[in-house]
Amino acid sequence: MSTLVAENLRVVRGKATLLRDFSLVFDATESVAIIGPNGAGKSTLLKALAGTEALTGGQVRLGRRNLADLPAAERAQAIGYLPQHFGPHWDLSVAELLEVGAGRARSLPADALEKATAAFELGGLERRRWSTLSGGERARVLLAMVLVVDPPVLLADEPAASLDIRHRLDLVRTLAERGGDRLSVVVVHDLDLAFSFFERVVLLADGELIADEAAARLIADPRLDEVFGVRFERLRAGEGWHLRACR
Amino acid sequence: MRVWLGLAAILLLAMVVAACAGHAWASPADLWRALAGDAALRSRLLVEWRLPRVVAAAFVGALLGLGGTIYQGVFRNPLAEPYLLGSAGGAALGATVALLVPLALPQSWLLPLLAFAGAWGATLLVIGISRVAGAVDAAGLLLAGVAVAAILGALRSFLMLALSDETVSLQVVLSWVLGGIQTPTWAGIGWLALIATGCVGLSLGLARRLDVLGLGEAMAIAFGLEVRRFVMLAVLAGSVIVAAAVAYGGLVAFVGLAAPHVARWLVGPLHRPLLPASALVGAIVVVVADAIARSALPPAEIPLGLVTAVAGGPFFIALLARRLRS
Amino acid sequence: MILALALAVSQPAATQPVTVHDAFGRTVTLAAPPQRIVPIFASNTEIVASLGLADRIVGIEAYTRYPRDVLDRPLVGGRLGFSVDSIVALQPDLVVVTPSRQAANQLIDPMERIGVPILVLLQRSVPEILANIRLIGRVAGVAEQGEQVAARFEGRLAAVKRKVEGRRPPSAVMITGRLGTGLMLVAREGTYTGDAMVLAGARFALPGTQTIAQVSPEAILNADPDVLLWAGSARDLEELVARPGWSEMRAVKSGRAHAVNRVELLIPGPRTIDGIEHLAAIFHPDAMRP
Repeated sequence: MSTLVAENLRVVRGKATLLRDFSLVFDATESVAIIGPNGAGKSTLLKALAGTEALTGGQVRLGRRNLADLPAAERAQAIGYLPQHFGPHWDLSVAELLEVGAGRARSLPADALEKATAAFELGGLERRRWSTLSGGERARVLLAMVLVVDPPVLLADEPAASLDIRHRLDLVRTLAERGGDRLSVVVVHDLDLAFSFFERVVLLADGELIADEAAARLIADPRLDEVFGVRFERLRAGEGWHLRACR
Repeated sequence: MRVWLGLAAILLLAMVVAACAGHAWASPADLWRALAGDAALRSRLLVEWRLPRVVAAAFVGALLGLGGTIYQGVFRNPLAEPYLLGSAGGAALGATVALLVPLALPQSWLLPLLAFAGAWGATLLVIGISRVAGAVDAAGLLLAGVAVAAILGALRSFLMLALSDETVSLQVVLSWVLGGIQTPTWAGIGWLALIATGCVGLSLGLARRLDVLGLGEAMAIAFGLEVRRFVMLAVLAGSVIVAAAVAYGGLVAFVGLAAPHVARWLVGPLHRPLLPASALVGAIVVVVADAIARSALPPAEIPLGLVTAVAGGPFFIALLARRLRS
Repeated sequence: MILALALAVSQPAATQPVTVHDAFGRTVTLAAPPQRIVPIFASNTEIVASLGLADRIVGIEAYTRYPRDVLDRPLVGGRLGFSVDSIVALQPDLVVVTPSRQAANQLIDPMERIGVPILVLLQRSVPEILANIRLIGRVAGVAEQGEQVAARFEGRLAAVKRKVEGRRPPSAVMITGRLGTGLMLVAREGTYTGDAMVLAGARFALPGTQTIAQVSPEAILNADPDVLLWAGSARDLEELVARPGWSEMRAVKSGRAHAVNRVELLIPGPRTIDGIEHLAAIFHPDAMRP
């Protein structure tokens, strides 16, 4: 059964068409990376899937129900959305942020907060305020906040962009691994990471869907080179891939 | 837990001291005797006049604290204060009409009624204008608020000029605008208590959503908050609370701005504990300020708003200094 | 609205409770003649003093300047309002107040709740001032004294009336104040000051009853009254009439621009009668010459 289905998505803002009538189908459990050059519409697609961007045409379905018809609270519980930039206005502590995140759910198992704290290695950080956290710690807190209610769908908009390399690696790997028993759709800028960790890759350019294949198949596809305007050298590196770009 | 007990204890102490304070200070023994039913003039003064005033001051302060916290939460701005969306201008206009226009109803009813109607009416006007302009977000509301405040201020100035003469002076309106507790009867206190309880309940109902809003608009939407609707709801609720405070206490400056800051420092930024903490802090501040207003310059009474404004200035500077240092 | 005096018995016996209605229609009852009176505003202080009750005054406020012997009493208020605390500290058994500067609204409610009798007086005409004198006399248990004082004043007013009756009343404007914007406050019909002008034998140069107290200087210049009165110092008057436009006025050119005494004309009390006599001498100098 498909969990998330996007049909004929069309998003127009002013004179610009951000998404040009394409469809995507996601299963209940898989890890999907969305890649593409700047301005391809990756963030817009993610927001449309999350239900936070108004559609000019088409619809998004969660299970059998139209996302637009779902009450906002239900949608928030089913879909976890990680934005590209996050900064709370008030200087909350880690424990408080988790509490707000957990407040989305009508009822949570009693140990949900503890499990989230442990899963994202936040033990010992509970009392620390957001302004005192490092980039890596902040990324983990954000993840914990969104995932504490264990939503079946996770949509992440390249939150790793401003992290150093080690944290970026950990974060993207965590996001991809979630695809093992849930749906995880992540916008990824680092092509190495996209092809190394994700089962399936969706390629966008200029608001159009260029390719939607298993990572292992798409890696060899010449359309990658066309869309990014470079020539890639595909190098196998241990379990993962390294793409070297040349002109 | 300790914080709550501490705040409650300070409030109680402040109220006792305030009841003793005045042009002629009473002792706690006098207070006790008065409560026990002594019929002397002094005791009657304490029970029928000072005590209701102190209690009213506490409620007004609590309402201001609640209103300020809600406004800061909605605008996600620690400089937001309860009089933001035109409610000050509206309340002052209502009060001016009540004070200067000879109308049929007794002024003790009319003044709080028109002040309340003016405060809330002005906010409704602001929301209406921003809806018509299609900009029901923080920036749109603020702009509409500035416009409405200007119009209402002009109306009020005109009324003040037109209706005052040697016997009914502008000073009357001025002293209301500067803030001062309208002492209700004990029956009135009952109503005020009811209203205040309702307001606390109302604001607690908004607490979780205010937290979510504080995460930023994108995140809030993703968390299932219908931001536009909620902003309007919260603004309406906040302005009802502020209008109630203004009806009983005039335009008291700074409390709505400062109480949430102090409360945030004590219990953190989550709104469930923040709102009641703000209420307590606000109550303490107004009770103390009112006591000072009544006893600093006998036989005159300094308008309450002057006391809070004079104290507010240094507080603000201290706050800014702390921010700049960190 | 004429004050209705409901008096149970007419003997000035000190033990009978006295019930009166004040200017707001409130019923005020005093069980015994008050011994500790707090009059708010100069007018009420002067009325109480004129009845020989100055020694019963226990507190005054900052606006009172007369009579001299009460000026040392404790102050209960002034520019910044009136203090319930201070008044109650004096243990008064009667407070007399006029609804100026919100004094009535500030004090009626608390005094009623605490149980101090409070009497509200209005002075919209000169006869009302005299009625107030009688009312205070009754309330204070010195009804005969009140009657005498009021009757004496009425006699003086009748004398003025005799002298100026039948003579053509000059048109007059009395400026009682000046606002920063240049607008002026003038004595109007329906106030005791306006009434005083009419009783002294003048008529209003500015037509109609003005609902707004402020008039523009143009209106005064256009009216070009026979007599121009300035309730203030002679020096201020000189400065005013030296201005262009003002110096052309008939009243100024013919020497009929006078400074008049503020306290006599802007305090609605016994000295208003003096004020009327002085005004009459200005309006009809030949009639009032002794």
